[in-house]
Amino acid sequence: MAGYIVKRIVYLFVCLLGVVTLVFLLVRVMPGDAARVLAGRSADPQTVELIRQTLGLDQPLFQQYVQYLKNLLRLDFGRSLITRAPIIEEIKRHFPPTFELVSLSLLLTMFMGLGLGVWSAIRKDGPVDNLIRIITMSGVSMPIFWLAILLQLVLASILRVLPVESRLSIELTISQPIRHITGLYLVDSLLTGNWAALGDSLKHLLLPAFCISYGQLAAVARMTRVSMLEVLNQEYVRTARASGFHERTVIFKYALRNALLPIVTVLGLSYGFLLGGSVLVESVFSWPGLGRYVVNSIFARDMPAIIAVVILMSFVVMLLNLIVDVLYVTIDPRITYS
Amino acid sequence: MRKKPISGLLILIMALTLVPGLFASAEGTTIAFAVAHTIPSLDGAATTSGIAHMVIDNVLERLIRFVPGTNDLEPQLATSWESSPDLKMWTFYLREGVRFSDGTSFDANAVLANFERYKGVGKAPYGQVFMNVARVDVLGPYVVQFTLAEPDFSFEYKLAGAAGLSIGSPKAIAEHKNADDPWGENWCYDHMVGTGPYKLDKWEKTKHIILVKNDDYWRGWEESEPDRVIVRIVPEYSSRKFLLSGGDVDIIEEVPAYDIPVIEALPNAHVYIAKTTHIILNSFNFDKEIWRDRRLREAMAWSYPYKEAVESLIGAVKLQGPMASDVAGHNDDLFVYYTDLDKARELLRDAGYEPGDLSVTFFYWNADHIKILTELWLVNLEQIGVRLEPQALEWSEFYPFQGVRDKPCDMWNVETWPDFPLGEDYLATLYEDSEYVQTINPSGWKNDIFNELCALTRKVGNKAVRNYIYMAQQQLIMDELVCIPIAQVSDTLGVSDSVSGIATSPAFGAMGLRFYEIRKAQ
Repeated sequence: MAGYIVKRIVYLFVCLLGVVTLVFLLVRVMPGDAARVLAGRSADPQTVELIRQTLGLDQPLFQQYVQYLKNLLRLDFGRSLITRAPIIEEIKRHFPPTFELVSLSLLLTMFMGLGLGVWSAIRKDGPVDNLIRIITMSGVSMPIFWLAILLQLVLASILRVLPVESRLSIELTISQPIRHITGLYLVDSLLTGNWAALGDSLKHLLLPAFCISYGQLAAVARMTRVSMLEVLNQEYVRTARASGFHERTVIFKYALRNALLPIVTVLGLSYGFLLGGSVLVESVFSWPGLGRYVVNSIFARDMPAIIAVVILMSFVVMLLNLIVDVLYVTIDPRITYS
Repeated sequence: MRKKPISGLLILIMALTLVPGLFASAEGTTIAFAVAHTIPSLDGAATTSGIAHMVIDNVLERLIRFVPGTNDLEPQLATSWESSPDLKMWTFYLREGVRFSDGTSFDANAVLANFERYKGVGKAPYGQVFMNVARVDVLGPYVVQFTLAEPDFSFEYKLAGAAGLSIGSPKAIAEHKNADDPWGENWCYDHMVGTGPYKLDKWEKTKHIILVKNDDYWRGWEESEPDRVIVRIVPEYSSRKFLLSGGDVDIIEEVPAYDIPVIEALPNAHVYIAKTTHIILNSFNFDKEIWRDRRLREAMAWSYPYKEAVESLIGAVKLQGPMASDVAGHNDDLFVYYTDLDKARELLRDAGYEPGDLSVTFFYWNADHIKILTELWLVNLEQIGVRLEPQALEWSEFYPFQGVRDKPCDMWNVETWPDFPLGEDYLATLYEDSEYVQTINPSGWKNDIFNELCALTRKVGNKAVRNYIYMAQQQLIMDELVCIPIAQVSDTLGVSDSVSGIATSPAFGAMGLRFYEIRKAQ
């Protein structure tokens, strides 16, 4: 098992190198001149050239690439062309909000997807199954930004039960600010006993997290349903029922555990989709995370920032897939890796 | 009976979400403004961002400023000022007893220190103010004199304009300089210590900026002035609208035309249309061979859908010539083109172009309103057999693109915000072809008479004479059809009914808001 994990980690870094190379080349063929953007409208050609030299953009492409890799090994992504701040510092600031949001989305996807999928399977072809099918299909087909605006309108603007945007109410930011420890508001407010902030940040998380998870929820629910239906027809389930086990025990202890394997795969892949979804949702909800950061960077042609975020997101997705593969063994002891 | 942990968890979550309401506090008057764009920097010497300058101007002050809602000048940190007859020496008499929010005194040395910093940073927008300054002398504790290399009647407007000098505490800046950063740029990026009504309390880069009142502000405080300002960054318009309708913010910016009836129908808000001196026009690239034939330029002008374009923009009026109509020196006698597709077809035929022969590459800023204008024009051009090849550029690319020569396109759209509301910034800045530092002449148009008139306006002290020259310059531009004037536009704000005293600047629109002068009913 250990050997397998080491091998996968090596593969992960090979893949990462591929991503780095591809992104590095892509941003250089994109239209736009970073030196000109930085210099401004009235800059003379000498100034633009000087900036180009300072950024190393006048060097041959291969040399730029090698230098970039060297810097990357030191986790030096360079400086943002717009804010001039080190990108690693900006990522440190923007990653926690996205991680918190996407992780909560994953939890919502998992619990709601599993719940709806199981319910749908045990009520196969009944009204509940049909209703869940409608709900899940609408999740797949509804554009995420439209759902976000719709929920803002109903829950935030008309019913006023949830906030429209941001991570924390302005009033609380002023009166009871969260002391930053991890950058995750839920964790930080728990650690510091700031209950008002805990509740407020949870309230702010619900709407964007639900919007991101809704699309993936459908995939998980449908996969759970199919997987459960297959397992529920197995003889050992019939045997368990005949032995007088409570139906809940049969479903959740025996059937669901065996149905989990394909679902875990879908959940692992979901994280990538959820991260992608965060780009849209963060813009709608003014969420100060990586998604919004990368959107702003794209509009501003802030190439070093774009490359850094793409690399980071790719790394997170690859790492999660590795974790999912390792989880297989825990879920199904019959699986062994050599 | 077994407890249900899930139900317990749900109850806990619901209870927690109710807690904040118990802790919320509301002291004093707070004005909350939801804006669309992030603030790139708080260093006035380094940023051209309008929203950044709005925040800066509420914390740092200038020697002179525009009277809110007008294009007139009034003293701010200066009490009076004068120029020498040759317009090369400008003397400012400064206000005494003013303190920066760090407790240090404002005086002539502070002006000198800030000027040197702006010049040293070298990124001051457009270089309009400082490139022409040869020397700054401190003539007394409260007297400072600027000596210009070339005469410039508009120096006072430039100081008050977008590129002008915002004065921060020299002590605070000096404490944060070092050998690698001789002008304290890293510190000034996210700090401000000024003499203005507000102090920077907190800036969370992509979320909000909070300003609190400067208790020692020299104009003093009464109960009616807002003692806290929150500028929230909310990129999505729908979110800004929901915040306004819910009473979470008092002002929102960039209300689109299609949503004006919705905002007007809200029980607690209305739309404020801020007339500006921003103009929109399409420029020809005179470096391209095809535009040497005037008939083609005329055909393009006759094909433009002026009426539809103006109607698509909120509070817009049709533009007459290359200058906003309410800027002094506007020529009211200029010929105004209207849409006549038959005339456009005829001119194309005369020039030897059959339908389908002419295709025009057109670059524009990728903003919704400009996109609509481009699509409207595209429809008309199709009808006369001209193929428009539009290419949208994001602002970060479009902004520097406007200033460069040898553009790859045949035409491009210009939306220009004057940095100071004078004819010079519409005319010389955009069309003068000379070595003068402040001009960019992106269209490549050359006219010796026009260039000589530009040089002349800078030396003429008499306003009436200067305005007469401006009129002649506009005539020259339109006689040679250097551009297609389209519209003079407005800024739109959604404003809570509880807020009054909003006075935007004609030159800078909503970015000219001064919160100290706004009132909010409790």
